[in-house]
Amino acid sequence: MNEQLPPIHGQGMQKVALAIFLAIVVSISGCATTPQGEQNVDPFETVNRGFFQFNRDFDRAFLEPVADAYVEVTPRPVRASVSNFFDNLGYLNVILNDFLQGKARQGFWDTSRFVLNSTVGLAGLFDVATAMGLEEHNEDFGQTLGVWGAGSGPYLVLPLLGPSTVRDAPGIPVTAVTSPLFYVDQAAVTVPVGGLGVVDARARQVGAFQFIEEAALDPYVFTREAYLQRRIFLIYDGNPPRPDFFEEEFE
Amino acid sequence: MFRSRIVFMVLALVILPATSVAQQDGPIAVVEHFQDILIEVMKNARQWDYEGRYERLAPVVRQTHDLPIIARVAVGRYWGQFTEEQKKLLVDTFSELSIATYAFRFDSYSDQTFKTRSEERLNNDQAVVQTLFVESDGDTRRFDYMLRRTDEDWRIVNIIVDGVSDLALKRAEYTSILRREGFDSLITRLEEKIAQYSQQDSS
Repeated sequence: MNEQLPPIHGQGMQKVALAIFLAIVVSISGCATTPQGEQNVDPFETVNRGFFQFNRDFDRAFLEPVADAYVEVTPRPVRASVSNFFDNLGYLNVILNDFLQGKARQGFWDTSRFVLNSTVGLAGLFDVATAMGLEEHNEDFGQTLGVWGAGSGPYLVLPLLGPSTVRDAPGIPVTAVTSPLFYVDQAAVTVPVGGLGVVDARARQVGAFQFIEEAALDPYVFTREAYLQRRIFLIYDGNPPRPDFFEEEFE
Repeated sequence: MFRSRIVFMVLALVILPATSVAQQDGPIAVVEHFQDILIEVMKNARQWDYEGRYERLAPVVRQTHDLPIIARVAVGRYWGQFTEEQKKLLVDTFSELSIATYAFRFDSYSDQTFKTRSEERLNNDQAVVQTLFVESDGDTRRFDYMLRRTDEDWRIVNIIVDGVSDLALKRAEYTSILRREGFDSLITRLEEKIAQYSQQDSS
């Protein structure tokens, strides 16, 4: 999930604080060693449900109307370019995690992809790399920890940020500091661009959110299950081991 | 409205026997037959409306999916605690909801197609068929079907879309509702969903 967050801009103290936060959060991920298939993946369910409801209310009040208006007003090619731009900004994170996972070859291809899209693709507005055969990959620090062997750890619903786990949460600051936008100091640039990034990320979820509203008997459980499964899918790059329901006893 | 009903019913009598699946069809044939019907329903979605789509899909879904087994797995360890009546009610309601979901969701057509990619036999009685759902703009989604053979028939028991297992999703939801609210509440929720689909014909 390569979401673009509004950046924490500013020099000195704030960056030191962020570094400390990163260090703490990475060490907490050491606790995320719950083995796969363990029964209770959601020991914080009560708190999580609370944040889930809060996020939903906040989304309905603020994010959804803005995202809907954005989708209605902005022509599709423009929205596609905006999405490409933010995907490209977030691609350094993918490259970093390619190498951290030992996927050196993929790391080199992804570097070429980033360079191509940033130059020929005009600062990422146009995804020329895919047209040239360099496909887009999805890697983040949470997946890296998964590849290194960390279990997901307890499921978390973070205020405003949404579904996560004890293992995946440390990936959020990593995503933030690998974005070039993080290092721009003028608020006049970072605030509008960051804001647009949030709108773009939310607009991409419009179909998914509608699907959940239509399909789910219990949106909280539905979201949790879909999120956890999606993470396994991403960690195994599309080829997860298949749990067999039918090993259970049938009379 | 009345006239299109007659036309539809005549068509159904003519088409249905010709396209039912033969007993010995393998997993890919079962999946492709089902997907052909889905595409057909999508193409005719406007004329048929929700009820027409439901009627067209009902026999095909029942034939190509093993709905009783899916319902059973979806309630996990609670199945053994139900009475015979409850089991029957659950399977009936769940089956209706499964068909209703397809009828609701496949309600428009814009040149989508399915492409079969591979079949894998896990053992004598289980198989996975990998397919792609291709949108008109080239975007693809992975639809993987898990099938299980009972007697001679291969039937779908799970669909995994882009890595998300529908059966696992249902199991998480249903067992959560059973744990927190009980059997009657689950049935009520299923019935509410069916009603929601039949009334809210998304246009």
